[in-house]
Amino acid sequence: MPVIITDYQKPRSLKEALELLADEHGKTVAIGGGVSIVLSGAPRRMRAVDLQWAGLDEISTNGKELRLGATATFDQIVRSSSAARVGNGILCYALKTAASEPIRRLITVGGNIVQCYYWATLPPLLLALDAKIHLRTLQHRRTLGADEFFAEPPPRVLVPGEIVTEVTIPLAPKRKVGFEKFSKTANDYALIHLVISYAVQGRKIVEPRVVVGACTNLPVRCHAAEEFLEGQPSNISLENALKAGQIVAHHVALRRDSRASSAYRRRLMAVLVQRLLSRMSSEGKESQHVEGGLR
Amino acid sequence: MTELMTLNTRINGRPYTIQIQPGAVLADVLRSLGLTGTKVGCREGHCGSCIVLLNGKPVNSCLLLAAKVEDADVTTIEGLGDMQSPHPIQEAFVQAGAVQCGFCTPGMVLTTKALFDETPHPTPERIREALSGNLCRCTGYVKIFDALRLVEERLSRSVEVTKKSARKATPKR
Amino acid sequence: MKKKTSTSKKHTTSGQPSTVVVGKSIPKVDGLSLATGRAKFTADELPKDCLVGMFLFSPLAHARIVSIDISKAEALPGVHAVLYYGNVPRIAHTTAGQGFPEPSPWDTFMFDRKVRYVGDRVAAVAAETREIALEALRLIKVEYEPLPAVFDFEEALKPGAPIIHDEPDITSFLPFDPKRNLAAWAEAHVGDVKKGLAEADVVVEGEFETHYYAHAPIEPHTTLTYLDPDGRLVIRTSTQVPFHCRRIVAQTLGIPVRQIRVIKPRLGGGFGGKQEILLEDVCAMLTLRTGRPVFMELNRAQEFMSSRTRHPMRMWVKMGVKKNGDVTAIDFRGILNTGAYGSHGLTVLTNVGSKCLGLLRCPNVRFDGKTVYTNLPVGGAYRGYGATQGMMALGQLIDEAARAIGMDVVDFCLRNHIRAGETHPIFRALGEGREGVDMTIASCGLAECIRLGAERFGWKQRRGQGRKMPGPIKRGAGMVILMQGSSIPEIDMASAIVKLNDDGSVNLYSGATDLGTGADTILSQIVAETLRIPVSDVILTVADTDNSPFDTGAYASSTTYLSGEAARRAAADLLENMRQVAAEALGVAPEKLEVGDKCFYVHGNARKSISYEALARRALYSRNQQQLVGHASAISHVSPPPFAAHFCEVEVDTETGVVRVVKYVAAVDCGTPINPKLAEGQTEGAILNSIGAALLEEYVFNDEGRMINPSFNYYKLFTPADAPPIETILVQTHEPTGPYGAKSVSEISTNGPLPAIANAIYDAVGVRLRKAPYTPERVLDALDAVSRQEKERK
Repeated sequence: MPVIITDYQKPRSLKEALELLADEHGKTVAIGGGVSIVLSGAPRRMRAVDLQWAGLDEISTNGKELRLGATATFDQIVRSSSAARVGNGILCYALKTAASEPIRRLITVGGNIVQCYYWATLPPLLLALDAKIHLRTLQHRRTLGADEFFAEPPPRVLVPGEIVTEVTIPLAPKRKVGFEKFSKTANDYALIHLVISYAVQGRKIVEPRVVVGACTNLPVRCHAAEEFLEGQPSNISLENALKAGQIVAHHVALRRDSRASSAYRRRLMAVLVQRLLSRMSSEGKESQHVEGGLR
Repeated sequence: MTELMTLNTRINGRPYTIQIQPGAVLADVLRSLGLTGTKVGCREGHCGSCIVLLNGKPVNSCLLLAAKVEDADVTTIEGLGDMQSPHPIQEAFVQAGAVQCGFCTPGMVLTTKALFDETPHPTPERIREALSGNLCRCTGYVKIFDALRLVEERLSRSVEVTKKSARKATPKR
Repeated sequence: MKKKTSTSKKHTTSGQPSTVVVGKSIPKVDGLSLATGRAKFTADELPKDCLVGMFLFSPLAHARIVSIDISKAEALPGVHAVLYYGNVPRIAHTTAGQGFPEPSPWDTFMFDRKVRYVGDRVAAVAAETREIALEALRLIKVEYEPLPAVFDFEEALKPGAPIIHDEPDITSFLPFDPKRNLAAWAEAHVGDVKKGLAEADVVVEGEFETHYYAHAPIEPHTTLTYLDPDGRLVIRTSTQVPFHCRRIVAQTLGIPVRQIRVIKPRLGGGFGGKQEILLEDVCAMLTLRTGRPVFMELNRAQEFMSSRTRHPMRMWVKMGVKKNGDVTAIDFRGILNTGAYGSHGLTVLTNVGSKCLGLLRCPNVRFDGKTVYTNLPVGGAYRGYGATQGMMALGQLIDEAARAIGMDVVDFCLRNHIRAGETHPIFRALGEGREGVDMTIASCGLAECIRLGAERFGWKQRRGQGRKMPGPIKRGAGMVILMQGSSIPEIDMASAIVKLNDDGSVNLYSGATDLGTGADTILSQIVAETLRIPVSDVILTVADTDNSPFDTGAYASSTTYLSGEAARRAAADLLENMRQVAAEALGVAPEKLEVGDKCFYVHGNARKSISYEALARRALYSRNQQQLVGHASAISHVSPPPFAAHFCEVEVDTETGVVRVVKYVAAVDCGTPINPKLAEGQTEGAILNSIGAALLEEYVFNDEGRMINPSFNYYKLFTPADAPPIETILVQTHEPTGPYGAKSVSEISTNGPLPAIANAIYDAVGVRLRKAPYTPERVLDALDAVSRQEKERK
């Protein structure tokens, strides 16, 4: 039984939205694309505050970082030349794998990261790209690093009346970024998300990020793998790629998933890490995004 | 019962002012207006039989809150052509054998329209990506791809004809 | 956009008269109304005062209902009726849409005091809105006494297993032993299998298992019922079997057949799942109780859990072969899991035998099958109907046998397949509820299918080559040969009436049921051909029990072959009656007349002619006035098999276990394809459905028998983005008993992918997957087992 919306508000500014959300916060819900509300199973009566017209859908860059407004949709990001500057197009590539095109028009930045379903595509990317999440209530504003925001289920991180207003991502043009989604069919919920990024200095890997999602409840960095990769030759040997894969497979705390056993997912994880690293290493150029080779 | 709200929108070029439940989804609103060409197959955004065009772009109307189309342009299959003057895309689907049970067809046709509005010569990869939100259980998709090839051919031919006969008033669909 | 994914080449046999519209890929007669969204499906035309009907389904796999309290639900404003076992007639029946007497156990009641699977019926409500109906369902208080449940084929047969059907008032006129959870069984023995196996040079054997998967039509089950102004019950429903629906609803409601009219509007796919009376009885009962129209629709989760599925099957098969390729024996034993109710439980089982074991020349064949009850979702009719399960096993065993004697499996198939002029005792031995029917194959293009298919596919280049590829991705090729049937001999019946109008056009009345298959178009083509009129001159009235003559419905691949033949005969009958009138009008003997385009003319004097229009007007208005009509019924004494050869190439990723189909070629002999494009469309759709079943689709159950993935979120179908390329070749033969030489085409190709893909996987990586679906985990497990064996050997 879906949520019954008793009252539908369409604020025309952020201030108006925050005022509405500050009121009766147990009974109001902020709507981005609205998909999770429509699909929600819990029978409760809620007042809806639709953020579509509150001016939160801007996508822009100042040359140093990308700003994504909370109601910017995946489709808008995929088509944005500003967004293409992050990881040389990694966002465009990765968000295309999130869902079919019509659904991408209904997935918003805010919705995707606050609901943070295990299959969500933005959270592992934001974690790997050192993004910042900007939040506001009527009275306060704060900014959290992605590590902090995704350390526990985001709905618990948010205080009453608080919404995400935007996300900023450093362009970091010198870093390599690789993304892999493993699923049964093209638009399927991911079984595994993998995002790896690093800089290269003096032919060595510097400040790697290895992020795993979808097979975990929340996206997580694998610090053990990052430590292993730090300082390794940027021309990654097959041996090192395999080793990194085994480290990730060993360390990741898997969520239960009826679609595949834990043993299989660990095995798969090792293969995916090895293949992504090998591909990232062999792609020659200094900074670019690398696409996963599997569905 | 919840209090109704007013929705002002345009459907197939015509303005509508309707009273809706605040939580209603667009598919149900359209069908209640008699526009039953838009189907409901799963209510989960997977089958695509509910797809309509919102400001020219495909969206799953089973997931779209009707309130969100305030002041927007919605195109349903009824807005594309009818039996007396069908749209070339509808004709191409029929000719190619891409219509079996027809339940997925309105969604497929509208997605195709949006695709060709965006680009007259989509690559095979782009076609597969654009259609990936439309499921068909009858055809195996083979003749649907054939239909899109036919659409490309037909639409580019009609562009040629229009260019050549710039002076004549050619009835355009 | 140059890649072609479909080609059809018709390789004709000579000697048949040429046809004008039969054999042509004319556009579907309903195509444009569907493409413009104007055609009406059940849910598209609901009366204003329509109530919403909804079911309460069981959350438990096996339980007695101790009590149901509907009082709060009934009292809710906006609720007009609540039904449960206590206030409906208790009439044992089957939900299977089959001919009377249905060859399925009568083991179902509208509502019972017991639930037998998660998703079983408990109660139903009719209310003003969906929201009120949902609220009413929540207010129904049910007290269950859980019972031990059984979920495994063989466990269910063990002594001491929970008895699922212990009610005293169920019956079956077929083999039936519910005290042992046996819904049906069938046996057949031809020759001496023990001797045959002993004579063999090599015996190959294996245990195989197919799984639970869904039809998943994009339109779920939907039904509208209402009372017409005369107080008759009208059922407008998404059904493949309008006449069986009428009869079974009459039975379960305890009202006469004449009080009921069933209409089939446009149908959004069925694939066998709508060969069932699933909603209509309850929807009708709600209308009778409330006096109002009632609309019921299964949501997607209910469509998965509470409608019908493929019957899973566990099979033990042995084949004996000689070094020269002769097959000396086939021993086939299997258990079919019918779930909680036995609909189609016997007939699917016998089809496993009759459609698979007659494929090869082999003197010694044994079939031993049982159908078992379990506390799981209910198997029903699913395209392929047993042949799909059987060929998953036999098709693999053929591949194994050929390899065991070092023969190319293509040559093995060419050597051993049944030919035109031949028969097989298994056809007689395994019928559908009665004894089967002897038949001699009259048309068989299988050899050409094999040769053309192998050539188009590139068999020699692909087979055995992909194992050597460097890197973790390997390729392999597999093939399989198939046969099905066309209608159920001596049981199915179709009929048609053709009436001539003022302008020379005709009305065709047929009970045939188009479920998207294109039946309406096929019938129109056949009638148009017979009368020498354009297809647009044929006006259809179909699948309305008040306005159509009887037809068993769309199943058993009988529409083109049988309904089409009835339509042809009816049109021929009309033509003869028209000829008499034309002869009288022209003052010549009827034999002197030739048939032209919409006219009769005198042989040798073309100017002496009469148009159909003039003829019709004369008959209606002028002289010896009569309504010119043709009518005919058709039954068949044989079930001529279509044949096919399927070829498949896969890629196997040995590190992730992922299998991808990269090429699929199907060569099909359906006699004369009445409409080649439609025949290809049926082939392509059937193939993708089964590739999905082989690689993607499965029901996942928890320990309590609940399906935990009843949603397209988790039960995945192929999208256009991942569908593999499929090519069809139509090989034309001429079936003398079929209209214009036609046989069926809709079911046969469903049977190819499960064995062909498994055979291709073996070719790629040397492991045989005997359990479907061929998931990445199963592939890796099999590969691991092989490496372990190799290590042990060293």
